[in-house]
Amino acid sequence: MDADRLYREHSAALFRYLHRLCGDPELAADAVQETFLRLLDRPPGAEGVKAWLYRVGTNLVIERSRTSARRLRLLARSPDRAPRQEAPDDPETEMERAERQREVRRALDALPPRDRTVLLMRAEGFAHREIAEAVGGTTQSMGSILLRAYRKLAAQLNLNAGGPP
Amino acid sequence: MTHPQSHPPDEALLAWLEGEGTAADRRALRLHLRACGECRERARSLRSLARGVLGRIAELDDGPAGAFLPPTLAGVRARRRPGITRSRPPLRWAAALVALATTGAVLASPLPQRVREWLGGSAREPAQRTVPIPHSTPQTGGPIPRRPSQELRFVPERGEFRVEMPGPAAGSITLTRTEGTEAVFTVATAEPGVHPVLLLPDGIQVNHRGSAATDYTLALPPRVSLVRLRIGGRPEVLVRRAQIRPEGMRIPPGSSEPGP
Repeated sequence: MDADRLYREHSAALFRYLHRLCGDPELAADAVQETFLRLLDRPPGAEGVKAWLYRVGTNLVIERSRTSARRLRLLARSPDRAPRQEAPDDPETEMERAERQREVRRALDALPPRDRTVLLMRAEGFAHREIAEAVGGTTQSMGSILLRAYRKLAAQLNLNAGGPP
Repeated sequence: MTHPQSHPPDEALLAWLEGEGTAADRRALRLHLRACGECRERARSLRSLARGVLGRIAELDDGPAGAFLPPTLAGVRARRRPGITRSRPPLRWAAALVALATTGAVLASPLPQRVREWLGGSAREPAQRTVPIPHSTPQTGGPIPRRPSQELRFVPERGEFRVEMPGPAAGSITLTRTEGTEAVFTVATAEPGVHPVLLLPDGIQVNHRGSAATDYTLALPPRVSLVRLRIGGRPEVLVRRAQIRPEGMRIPPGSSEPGP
């Protein structure tokens, strides 16, 4: 196993996913690093390394979010934590963009952790089997779990929910 | 023609849309969709649902991983210290400043008793201390260099606070808004990818909130009436509590006073 290569290939995407999951870039970065340290200490067996990385990272973020009351308080009062990359050219456009991001952040935060996890893993392009490995469950059950999560988020965002929730 | 009982459920349609299922299952469903307009319509609706949701998720602007992660696994390994849990950078820096304040980074001029209590230090201690803060790394453009350090000076005086960020971190500070007792600042620097960090004593909570354009939250206790900020060679900016308005304020470049 070439851990250096895995880090190069997956750390940025894992960070993006975990950041979206918890809304806290520092927590996400810590979890990414801890995940790769665990990879070095206890490399996974036959299962897919990528799915393993996401499963361990997810667990770390959830575990740390649960055990850190302070962090939760920060998250609760800072629903607009999505960071910006560039100074805005147009303040109005930037405000609109920021508001849309806050809306998505709030909607994600309102989902149960499992629904949030499956949606964000799907957004990263994971197959149902890999998501099932990460969150538990069967590949066959992922269709209904994902569908429910899609509909919940769509309802939060006032999107067309594609049928009854 | 199709029979209602043979219509695939929504979850099966979604799985099909997402490329799941065996080749045989996929073929069977494809054949069904060819014949069943109702299911085709449901599939279209589900595709729209999934695309809409994933599209909104993709709007989340995540910032560069490079600002938060070491560029290589060797960098992660180097951070590991047996028995020590890494703290998050802003908290670590804030802790350093708390320690600084605790040792009494106080000017020789008398401080109000309440300020000394707040700082928890002694007026006999040196007036200035320096705290290294790291830069973030550039996002692109070949190998990412090792992070240099930058000195940040903290000078409490007469109950006021001055944060200096010399060197390449010249930029601007924008107080974007207030939330209760928190003041949210955006700190933009002239050098791409540089993260200046505001360090303030215990009692002012600083949270790192962003990436290239960096947001910080300063929780100002009621007893704090003024904060002095300086970035690079720019004039010092005084931010008084009375000037912090819910709608926020902008400190114009080159100005020492907040704008209208």
